[in-house]
Amino acid sequence: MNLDLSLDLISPVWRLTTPQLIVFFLALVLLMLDAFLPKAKHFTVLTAVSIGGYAAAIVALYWQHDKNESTFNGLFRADGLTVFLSLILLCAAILSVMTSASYVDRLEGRMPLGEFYVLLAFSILGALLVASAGNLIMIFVGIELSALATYVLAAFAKRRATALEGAMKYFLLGMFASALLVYGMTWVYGITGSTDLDQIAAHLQGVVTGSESRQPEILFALLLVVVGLGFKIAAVPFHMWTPDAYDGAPTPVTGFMSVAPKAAGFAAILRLLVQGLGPLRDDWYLLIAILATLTMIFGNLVAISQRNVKRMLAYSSIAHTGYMMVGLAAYNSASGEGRFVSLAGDTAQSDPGITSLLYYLFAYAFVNIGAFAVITWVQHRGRGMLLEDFAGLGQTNPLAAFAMTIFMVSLMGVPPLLGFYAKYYVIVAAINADLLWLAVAVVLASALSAYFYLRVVAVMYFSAPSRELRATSTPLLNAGIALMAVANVALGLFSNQVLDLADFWSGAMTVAQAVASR
Amino acid sequence: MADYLILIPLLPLVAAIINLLLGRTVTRGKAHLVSVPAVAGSWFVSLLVLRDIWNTEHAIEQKLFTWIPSGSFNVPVNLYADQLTAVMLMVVTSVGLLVHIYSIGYMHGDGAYYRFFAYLPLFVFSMLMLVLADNYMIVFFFWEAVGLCSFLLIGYYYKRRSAGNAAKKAFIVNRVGDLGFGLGVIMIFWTFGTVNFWGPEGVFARVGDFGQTTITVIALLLFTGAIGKSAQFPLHVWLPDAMEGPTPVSALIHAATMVTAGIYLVARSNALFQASTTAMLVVTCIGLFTAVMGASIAITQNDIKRIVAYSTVSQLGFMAFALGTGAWMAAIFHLMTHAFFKGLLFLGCGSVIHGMHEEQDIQKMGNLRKYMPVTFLTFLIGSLANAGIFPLAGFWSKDEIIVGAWISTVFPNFGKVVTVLAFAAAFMTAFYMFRLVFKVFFGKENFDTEHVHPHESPKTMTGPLVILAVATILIGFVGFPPEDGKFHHFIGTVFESHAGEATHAMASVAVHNDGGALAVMAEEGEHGGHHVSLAMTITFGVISSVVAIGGIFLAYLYYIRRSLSAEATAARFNGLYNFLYNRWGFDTLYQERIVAPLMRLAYFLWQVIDVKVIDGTVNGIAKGTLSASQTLRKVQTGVVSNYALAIALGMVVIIGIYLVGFSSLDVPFLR
Repeated sequence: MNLDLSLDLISPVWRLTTPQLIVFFLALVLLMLDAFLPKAKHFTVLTAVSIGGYAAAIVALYWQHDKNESTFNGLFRADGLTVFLSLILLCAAILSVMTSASYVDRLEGRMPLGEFYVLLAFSILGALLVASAGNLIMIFVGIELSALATYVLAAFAKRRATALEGAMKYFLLGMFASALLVYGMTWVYGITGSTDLDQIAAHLQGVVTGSESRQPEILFALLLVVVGLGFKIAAVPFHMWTPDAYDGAPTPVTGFMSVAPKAAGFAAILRLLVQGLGPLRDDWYLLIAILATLTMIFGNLVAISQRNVKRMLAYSSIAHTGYMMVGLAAYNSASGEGRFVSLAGDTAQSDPGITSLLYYLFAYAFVNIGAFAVITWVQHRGRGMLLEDFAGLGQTNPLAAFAMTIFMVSLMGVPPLLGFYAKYYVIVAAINADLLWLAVAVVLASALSAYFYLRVVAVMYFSAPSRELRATSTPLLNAGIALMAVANVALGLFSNQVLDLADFWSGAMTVAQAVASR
Repeated sequence: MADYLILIPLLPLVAAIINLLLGRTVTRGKAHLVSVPAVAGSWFVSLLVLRDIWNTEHAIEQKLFTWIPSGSFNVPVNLYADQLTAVMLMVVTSVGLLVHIYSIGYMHGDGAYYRFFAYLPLFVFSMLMLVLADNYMIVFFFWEAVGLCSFLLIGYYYKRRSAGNAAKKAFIVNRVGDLGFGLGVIMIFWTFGTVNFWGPEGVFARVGDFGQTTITVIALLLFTGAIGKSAQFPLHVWLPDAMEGPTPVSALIHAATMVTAGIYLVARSNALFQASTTAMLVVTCIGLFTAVMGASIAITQNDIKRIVAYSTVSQLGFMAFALGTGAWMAAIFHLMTHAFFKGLLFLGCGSVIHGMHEEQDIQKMGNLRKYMPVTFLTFLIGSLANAGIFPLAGFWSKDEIIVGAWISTVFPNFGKVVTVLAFAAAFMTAFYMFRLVFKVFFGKENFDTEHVHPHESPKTMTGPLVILAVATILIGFVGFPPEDGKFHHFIGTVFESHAGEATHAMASVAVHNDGGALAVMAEEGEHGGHHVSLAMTITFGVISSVVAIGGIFLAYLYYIRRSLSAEATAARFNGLYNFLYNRWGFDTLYQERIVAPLMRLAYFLWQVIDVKVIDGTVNGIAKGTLSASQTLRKVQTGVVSNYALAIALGMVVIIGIYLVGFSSLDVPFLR
């Protein structure tokens, strides 16, 4: 037995890790190119290599899509969750490259593009590892790899004091949260005697059904894990770093930070809370639901009084964390009931809550990076990030204003855009899980959010332009914005197909087949 | 065979759409080139329909599509033309066509010429659909549509405040009636489970299956709609104000066609009305009151169009009580003759106003026969017809109504009272009509001959006048001999077939109630209604002629020979005169008792309920949200240790959540 395990550790199945390896080598190649390529060619080559690398990883994902295997002695998993989360992360990476390339290269005193891409790649790699983790240690390593790179990205505009301040707060509190998380993990290990998610789940299943001795200390471990991961996804009251760090980071980085590390955080939650601590669902779902409500209400409420669009979107991203947590709270360990769609011939059981969460993460990548991209676009043209800077954009630049309108309205959740379906599925999942009050909270919070999203639209269309935009050319950014705007409409119209994918992969996720613990 | 039925409404609709879409850019001053041929085509097809129905004596039907398929509630859009519809089609398209032609001259040079020629065919389309509909839902739909067209055309000169107010008044007053009609349609569906007229499952075939109270309620609700649309008391007040619209509109919509929609509706629903004596009594009383009231008001008015408008109100009252007394054919006959002579009168008014440079006060006219001979002659013919002089159209139909009331089988005794009052109204009609004629066309010029030069109207205007005058002379003969003319043979089947069924129903009710009189009445009804002897026809013809000539002679004494002084009479009967001049005080009454309190209520709802309560609540929530937002943002102090404290506090809260007992694990130390 022991021999087999060590054999798997010594000669792992490398081909399962192809997408992750591609991103790893992408980071290395970028490092080399940054060092040895003439500066003049950096922009074109590095950008092309980055996008190409992530695209190749997406292609490589295709060969992973029907796998449900693990290697490295269970450390690494290639299952449906890995595939879908990786897809989200790699899409976010490509979109971030498209939106940030010219910003990093030209604004805020010309930041080093090569370093930026390398850090981006490592951040993505860390997130990918969390998404494919089958073991507490792997989760922690992945989170820290992603976080360390993100800390630096947050401080990337190093000449600006606010950037350093925000990044410093992010770093300090991140360490605090990581300490709590790893403390919680040690408790889990201490109680269950394993770091493997399946074995943890099996043990806890025994605890719940009564075949193992009752260990109330597990609640303490659960608490620590929730706090540690709550920090990563910016759930209230562990969100305090978010506005400062988001505000300080270069705008496209903020877009990235609001999507990729959040996706990594939710990946960790899905692995840890759902796969590992899934049998304890009845002990954590209400906690998550309450935190979700707080997060939605708080994020939207405070966003109302922001005049800085970037800061407003920071609070809005807190609110969206809340919506996603609703999907998580709707996770029902008695899986298989009330699912959205039944795919012909699938054998795995999917959970509407998890499906809606995955769908939300996917949609959010296209909406939020898009919103930040338009702010970036405006910054490129010599404006700031205040509401006033958007005045009259509908007159001076109707296309940009239209794209921003799509993103705002999509964030608000208006059909037939992507954001609507994301919210809709979350609400349906909450109702399916008998959390009607939570569904109502989502709707009320969305109503609150209409105020500040539509205010941006109103300012763009109904205010007179204050001053001229500086003429400049940002083809890659424009392409990125156009891509996301179209995606918001198109993926909204074909939301069912995306949902099928999310459903398929959440179904393929190797949830330790937990039984209802009630 | 029946596929051409659709052309009748379709042509005007297409014309309306073309002028609405392209009027501003393409058709402009030539908009009539689209509308007039369309209505002419529609008239021609109507003629074919009339011929076919005349020959085959069968209704024509064309199924189009199902508008609302919703469970048991099905509303098909089918066209259905029986004899009654054929008459209505002819009336609407004939008068419609002539008014269209007339408008070419009358509206010439108007800034929004195309708009006029878009609304007018739109109205014709709606009116045609109304009479072609084969269920109550579609009737209701186009009932509203003609109301809309009426609103648009009354307010055609929308820059004039009075026109806007008149349009609103017409629309709002009609809403009251339409509410009743709407409830009637709902009630019909509730009772019958269908809104369709025909077929074994249709409304008319199954009237006898339901209690008399139900049928009475339905009939009265339908009549409420008719009261509004056909300007019956107490909702007649909108019609005189509606004269703010262009005169051709008054002729077409507010004299000849739309206002007769209510009469049509009651006639169409005769199966329902015949089954309820109560409803018939209400219709008679309201109609009679309206006829007398309208005629009496017309005597004292000075605005040429208002006089004719009150005359219309009065004549609609004639039609209504004819319906009520069971003289269905007489009512429809009068509807038809009235459409021609009242259309003629209105177009004549338009010609006078046109020639007098927009002057409408008859006291500032006089001796116009010298300046506008054609208008005078045709107007005279119209007035004679309206007064009921032999052998013009009005004579035949009015006489028939009066005879119908006298021999009414529905109200054998009350009918006599109706007859007497009808004669009084007829007398007043002759008087006010010739007061108008004498003051406008005879005597001396009461206007500034230096500056005002009355002139005859162009050919496009006098042409329709002449045609209508000829029609006014001839149209009465389709009803000759009285009670037995071609018209009666043609349209009689519409009412007789149902009369049979309805009287059966009434007979059964009567048997249940052990009511002998009703049974007798039903017996009579079954034997083909009333038989009128030749002697009686001639007697009544002579009496009404005497009454009419008496009225004219009185007007002659007052306004030509001046052996009687109008001023002295008015002064002597001052109270009566003011009462009539102020239109029985209805407008004031409504203004003070209904409009003013409603305005106060609306003001209260606006200023208190809406502004304070609703807006206050909404704004209060918004304010609360904003202040919550402002408070909460202060949590973000920017100090890292505070942030860490928040995390710690969060943990404490979570522990608290577990402490209050939320855990499926039976945790001893937490209990």
